[in-house]
Amino acid sequence: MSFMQPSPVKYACSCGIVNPINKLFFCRHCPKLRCGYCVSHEVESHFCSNCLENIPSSEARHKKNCCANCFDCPCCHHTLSARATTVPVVRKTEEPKDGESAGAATPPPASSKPSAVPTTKKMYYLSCLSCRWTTRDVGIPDQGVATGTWPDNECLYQARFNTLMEYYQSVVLQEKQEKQEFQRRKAPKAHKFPSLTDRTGLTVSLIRRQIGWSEKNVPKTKPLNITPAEAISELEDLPQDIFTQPINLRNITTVAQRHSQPADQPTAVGNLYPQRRSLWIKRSLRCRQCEHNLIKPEYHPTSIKYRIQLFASYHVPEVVMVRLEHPLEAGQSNAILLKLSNPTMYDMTISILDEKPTEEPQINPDEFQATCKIKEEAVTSSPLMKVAALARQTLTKEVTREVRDVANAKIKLLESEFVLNQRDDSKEFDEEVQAQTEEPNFIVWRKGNKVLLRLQFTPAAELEVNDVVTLGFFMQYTYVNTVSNTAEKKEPTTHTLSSRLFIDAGRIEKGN
Amino acid sequence: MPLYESVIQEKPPIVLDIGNAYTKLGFAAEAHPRKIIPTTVVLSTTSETKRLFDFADTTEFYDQIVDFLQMIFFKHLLVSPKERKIVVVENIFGQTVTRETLARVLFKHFDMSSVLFVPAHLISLSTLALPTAVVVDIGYSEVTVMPVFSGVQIMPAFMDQSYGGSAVHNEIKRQLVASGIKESLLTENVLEDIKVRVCFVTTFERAQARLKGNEPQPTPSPSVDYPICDYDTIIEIPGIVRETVYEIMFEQSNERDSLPHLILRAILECSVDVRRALLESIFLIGGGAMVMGLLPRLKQELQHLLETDAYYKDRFHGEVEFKFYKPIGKENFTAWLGGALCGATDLIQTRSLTKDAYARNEHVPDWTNLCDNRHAGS
Amino acid sequence: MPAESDIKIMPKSVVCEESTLNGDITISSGCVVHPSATIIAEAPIVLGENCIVEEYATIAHRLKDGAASDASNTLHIGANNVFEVGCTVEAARIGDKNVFESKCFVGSGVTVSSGCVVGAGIQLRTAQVLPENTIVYGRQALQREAIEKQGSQTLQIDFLRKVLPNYHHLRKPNYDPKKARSVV
Repeated sequence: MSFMQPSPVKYACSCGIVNPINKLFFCRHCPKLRCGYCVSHEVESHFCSNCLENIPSSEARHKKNCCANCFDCPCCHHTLSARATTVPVVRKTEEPKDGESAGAATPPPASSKPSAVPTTKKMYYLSCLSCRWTTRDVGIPDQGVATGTWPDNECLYQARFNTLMEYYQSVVLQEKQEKQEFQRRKAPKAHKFPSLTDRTGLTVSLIRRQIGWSEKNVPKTKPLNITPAEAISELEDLPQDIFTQPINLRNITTVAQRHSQPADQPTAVGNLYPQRRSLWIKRSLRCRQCEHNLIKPEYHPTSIKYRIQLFASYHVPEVVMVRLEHPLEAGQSNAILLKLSNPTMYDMTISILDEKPTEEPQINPDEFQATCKIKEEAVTSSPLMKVAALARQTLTKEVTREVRDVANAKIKLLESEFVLNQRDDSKEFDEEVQAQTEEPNFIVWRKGNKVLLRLQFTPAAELEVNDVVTLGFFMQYTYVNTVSNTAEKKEPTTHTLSSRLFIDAGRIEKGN
Repeated sequence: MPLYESVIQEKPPIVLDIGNAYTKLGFAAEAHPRKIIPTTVVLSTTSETKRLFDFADTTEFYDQIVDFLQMIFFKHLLVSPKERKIVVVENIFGQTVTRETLARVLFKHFDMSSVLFVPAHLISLSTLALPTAVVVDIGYSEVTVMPVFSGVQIMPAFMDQSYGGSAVHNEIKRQLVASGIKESLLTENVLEDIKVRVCFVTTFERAQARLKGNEPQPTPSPSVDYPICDYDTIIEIPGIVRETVYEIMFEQSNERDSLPHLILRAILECSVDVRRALLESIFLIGGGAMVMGLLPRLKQELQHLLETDAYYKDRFHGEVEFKFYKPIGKENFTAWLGGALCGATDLIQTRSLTKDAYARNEHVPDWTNLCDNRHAGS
Repeated sequence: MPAESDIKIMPKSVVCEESTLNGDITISSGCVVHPSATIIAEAPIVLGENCIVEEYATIAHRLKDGAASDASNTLHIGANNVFEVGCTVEAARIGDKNVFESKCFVGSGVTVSSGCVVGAGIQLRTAQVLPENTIVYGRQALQREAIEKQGSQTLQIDFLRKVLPNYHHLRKPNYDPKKARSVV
């Protein structure tokens, strides 16, 4: 199967969206096809795509989803790399000699021992290998260590923002307290027994006040004072030289450069500062119906493996279009050769149908859900988890869509069903020893877990030249599920499942 | 004691401001958005890029929002949206289909716990700690004027016109094509880049001189050689183009709908006792407000209208000086910043639309909907 | 095919035999020309000192209609330029310390001053002048200005000068400016 090209064979996912098999997942617990749209995505772990370091999610949140060590070029958004230069530092007792040091050498601290031996010191600067931007371009001094000491560009109005935030938080809090107070007074608590205060109309606070005690409840939060912004009438005029001086486009930032530095959005390239590199994530996917994981990646960023991987191509027979027997003509019968392969360790019985099989898989979804829940409770019987399970029931679900039927050819169904042998990697290298047993005549070729199938069809007569012919059918197959849904049953269960397939057979070449 | 602290430290709410051109995204209680990204979506089905708000039917729109938010959550914000709170800054006169579809995606597809819709104009004022101002939002597709008095939006005085960023793009294109540049070179990206990097709002005096056809005409700014790399050509942008593309905001016509007129008319729609306060507090937000020279020009135009136009002369009395507010951040994310402030308070707990409330009748309360206004709210 | 004698190679330069050199070419001392690099001189080309021309790089000086192919129409390439793998450079003038990155194309109307970098894969066809220290980068071929010129590649040249003779046949230096002067 070609990975980069769109596959002509597409499977209808249980949510109604049509996808090639390499974009589909298979939930063994439901058991149904799932796609990226109908599973719920979750952030599994954060990592930096440059230094491949795993960053715990709490730290990632603290660091604002940025890597502590890696920087992006503010100019072209490429990764910056640290470059080392050796700077001669002349150590002397009194006056440090700057003349010999190249450029950005910092005068050494005065505590150095009295020797005039020139020593070299490694200094680092950041440089972009794509657009040759360096930290020296914007006047950031070279650093003594390669990572960790680069200055962060600070938000100029952070203090004002914090004041505003505190102010509004206190205002809202006060409002809330007042409302609570109001409701408390409006609806006095009904006690089982009449109390003294009910009879006399005295309230607790009134009594307290009469006795001379202070108010019991916490002192009300007073909104902080804040100085509102002041309107100005003196506005900055346009600089006069804009009408006379030519501008240098190369010194004006582009929109993308401005937006990559959202806090200050500089207009001059001289104000671009290295940006901390954003982290990436690994995702895990979860079936929305049964809450089982479909994909769970390995924790470590350098690993490309999965802990759980329920890709559809490991469970569902894969159909590959091989070729057509004749060029496509509207209304003319034709045949297509399809290669089916069984990825599982159990034999499959396959039949091709033109409408959805009426006998639904034996498991009733509700029943299944119930059994799942029993199992879950058996595993985690803590009350907290029960609450979580309850909460899950109120989960609003994505609406299933109708599969859009785009088939425009009539399929001639196969005379019988056939068996697709189990996958056996050792057989791959065996000589062709299989005795040619009696095969149905639609099977052209068979080897190991693969079968080449001849399927006859007739494109609809009303198709025009260059119209795409799409074959549509249901493939029913038996699937042996090794995970048991119920706690007591241990042996694998066999399901009869069906998938709806659409094959893009090509375009009509000749008119009739 | 502080109730709010625990809330914020747990999982800060997401704050989203989906503009017509750019989307601002980040977390509550932060002083600037994490990212500003174009409001375009790469469709997961065909992997083509298109504008989020170009859609034929609601299903298509729904799918686009799903893809768009998926990108925001997993590529930019890096959080699981499940069981999170979100603040959405919205245009109060935005389409119902937008917020309904958005709410449906947020609750049904992403399983978020609550959504707080906040009106952009009103919430922008919170960044100034002020209750009163005329908020002028210069966006991509339109310019809107909303007077706010004591924290109440004066709805009947709302004004809008279509000379936002996209109109400026069209004006640049018109003028450049007229000067002999092939139209195929001027893609939307190129036009935006020209607008942002070389254009500005000229001064009142020069605009008046041009208008009256005075001799001698002011010499235009130097022209710029602008390389367009996609087609590997260099075009010359005449100085006159740089200076005059923004004049569409100040064009005098019988409609009286230029930007200064719009502001004055909006103020006149308000009752007499609040007008003076509004005149002295004009607040420009939106990406379009970041252009050089806009504020001084607007002020002079307003003063000029007040002194010369008989209609306004009759209605505004006494010495009037227009005053403007400077935003604390940049204009293009001021509304977002308001949302971030709002999301940092307890309002996120009390005023949000929760998932359970949504699940009951699958409907977002709206101020224009009578059903939601019948009962006096809490 | 012009005679081989048109090619002047000065001492201390490393010119591999497998390179394609056509026309009147002067290669100054210290240059490194890799195997399968191509220099096409329809009119004379003078390659300055310490230039590196890498594999599959093409430097061409095309003859415009009616232009003379003699010494009055010489393309002088300055010193310390690097022509990286697979680039094609037909620029009208090339100064010092420029870097032409891999697979870039510089058309005949382009004047490259000094200290410029043309990024990988960038196509420059329109007639233009790249001012000093211009860096053309990225998919959009954006330009920016560096504060200083690119450092010279002395380490790389020294390395190549050591390594290349071990694996390739070299063209012998056939022109010594000192001797030539003594002859004149």
